[in-house]
Amino acid sequence: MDRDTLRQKYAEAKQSGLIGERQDGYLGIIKNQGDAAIIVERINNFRKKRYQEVSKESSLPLSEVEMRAGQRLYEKAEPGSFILINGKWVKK
Amino acid sequence: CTPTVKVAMPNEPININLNAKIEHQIYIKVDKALDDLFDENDDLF
Amino acid sequence: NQLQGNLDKFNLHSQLQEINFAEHNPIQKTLRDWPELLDLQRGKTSYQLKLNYRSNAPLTATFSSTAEHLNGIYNSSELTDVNVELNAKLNGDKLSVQLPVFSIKQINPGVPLSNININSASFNANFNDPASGTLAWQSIFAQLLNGNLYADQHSIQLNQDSPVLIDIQGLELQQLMKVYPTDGLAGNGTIDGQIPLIVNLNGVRIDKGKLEARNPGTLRFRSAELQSMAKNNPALDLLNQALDDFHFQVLKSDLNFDKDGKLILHIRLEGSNPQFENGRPIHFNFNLEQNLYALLASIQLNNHVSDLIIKRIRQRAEKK
Repeated sequence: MDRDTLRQKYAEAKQSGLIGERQDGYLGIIKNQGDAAIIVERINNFRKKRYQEVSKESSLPLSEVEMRAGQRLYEKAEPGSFILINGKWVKK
Repeated sequence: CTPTVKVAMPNEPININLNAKIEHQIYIKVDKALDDLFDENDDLF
Repeated sequence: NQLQGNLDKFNLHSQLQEINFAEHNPIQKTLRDWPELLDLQRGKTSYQLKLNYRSNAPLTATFSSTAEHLNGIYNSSELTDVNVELNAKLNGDKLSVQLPVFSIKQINPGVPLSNININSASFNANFNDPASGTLAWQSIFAQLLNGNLYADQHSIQLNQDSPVLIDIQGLELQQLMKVYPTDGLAGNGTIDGQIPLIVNLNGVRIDKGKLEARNPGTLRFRSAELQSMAKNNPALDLLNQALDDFHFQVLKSDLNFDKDGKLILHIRLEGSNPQFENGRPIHFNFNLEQNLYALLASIQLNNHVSDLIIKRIRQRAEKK
């Protein structure tokens, strides 16, 4: 699955509430339908590599970068998408 | 003749007043790196 | 543990030779109010408790404890080689604690304070109201940025504002510039000072501390950011050129610090840059404000400190 397809499927899955943002800066599966699982796995791998680079660059451990990314992505999440709050998926 | 204006180098001190408030944002570096990351890959974040 | 006695009198003599802190801290689970921010990782401690009760006399107890080469983390500061000898006596509700030995090789909240020695410290209080007790010591020594800190004999009431005068000798500007988390800073000079701390239960503040360079020195600040900002700002351009290689005759500062961490310096600099207008004299008045706790935290974050310290810094940042 090349990047364009991945981008498109990611947007659809987010729109239809199959996947959402978790507090640790990664995606979580809400309903395991269609390509939800593949999308989450591919994007989370991508994000982890980038977070590792940021961790080296900013001399903060990976866990801190992930937490910080999670906070920022919560703020950035568009209305209608889902975010995980205290274990419950909440529509923003 | 054109007068040459010789400015004697005044030797009285230059006074510099400066007020600075330093914000030691702990997360400046990581926030900046995350912003760049999100901007370059906003399709996957 | 031996427990002897009958109804009207008993005494308990409990003794523990040695607790070894490997990776976990066995005491933490037993002592109810172990300061939850104190995490001991290595070192040995032993204690001895004697309790005597006679129905008609006040309860008396003695508690003595030694701690050797303790290492760990207190709040977000690394503690290295803490040695304590403590003898406490309780007579009815009168508590008196003596600390014949209290030394710390280093405590590092970001800028290390080392070779700390608190001589013959003592604490006296009413057992039911320790917050209004009296803390006293003969003298305190410590080293900071290759300089010496010294506080002479003091006795302070915990529930009131108590002045503690710290004398500073020989702080090295060079060390300060190396530690300060801004690139392009350099300098050398020797700084002495008098820092009047005001201490009470909920914090420490400084009113009109004084710092002054002992003799002429140099200061340099070369930063790309300042360079670019100076392009279209004559005042900054002047600053940039002056600080490129500043030789000062006078460097002194007032220093104020409040319990929330706000540090305000009124710095006076007199000197010149030999390459700038043939060394024309330049006088600076800097009013510099910053938060000392944030400064220390950003130093630590740049120095790969342990995850536990980073976690505590984050918790503190989130609390704001």
